[in-house]
Amino acid sequence: MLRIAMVGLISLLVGAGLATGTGVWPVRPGLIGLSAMLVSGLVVKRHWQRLRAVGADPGSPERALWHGLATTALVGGHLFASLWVIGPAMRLHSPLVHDTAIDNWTMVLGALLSYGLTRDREPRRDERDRLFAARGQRAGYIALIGQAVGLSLVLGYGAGTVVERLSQSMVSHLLISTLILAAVVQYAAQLRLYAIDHRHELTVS
Amino acid sequence: MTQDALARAAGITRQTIVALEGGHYAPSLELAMRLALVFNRRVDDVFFWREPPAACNA
Repeated sequence: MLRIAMVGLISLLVGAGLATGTGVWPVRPGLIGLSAMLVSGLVVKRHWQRLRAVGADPGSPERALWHGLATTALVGGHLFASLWVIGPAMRLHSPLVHDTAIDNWTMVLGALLSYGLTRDREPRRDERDRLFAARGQRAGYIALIGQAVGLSLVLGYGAGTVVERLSQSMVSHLLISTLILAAVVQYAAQLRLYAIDHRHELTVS
Repeated sequence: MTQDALARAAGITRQTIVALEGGHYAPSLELAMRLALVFNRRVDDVFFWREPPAACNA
């Protein structure tokens, strides 16, 4: 469980850190994020290949979940921090927002490329994976509904606060953020189920 | 038969075989029947209680 939390948190923080470099660093933060995803994808692939040699590698769905957790948290961390830096009165077609969007979408590209590196070439899933997926989706759904309720209350009763200054594009990006957070919760919940299974393996063997 | 060979024969993953052998995953009836077929055994020859749960005692 600790490993799941660490991967999620570190990815989130790296993404948030990259947001501070928009328009400041000599290299685009998006390219740094893309490179980091590719490099870590190669490292993880090597690690799983070593585990496969001793029959201890994760299955296809679990690999996809680890990848999803890391990349979604990184892209999400970058988005959340960027929205904070940009501020509530976000204008969609300003230079800073354009640069941020290019960086964020570059990292999305990095996520897709690193998935190509890390995916299992012989994907297999069965009823146990589908059961874990259903439970994970339930956790993600609860997270999404919780955020929707919270956001609707904040937007509805936010008169006289910073909410009044929220631009249309900021509101839309807040909604996108809720989807990203819900996805992270779903991935973490599914990985937790696999982690519990692995703990049983160690106990039995 | 290796875990991987059994998994492929039954159409499931090796990780599920490990979970089944460890006794912390209960297969669906369909999966139980497929595994029994692979071993050419009856389902209750492959899957059985060591200690029936108290609630099931007649």
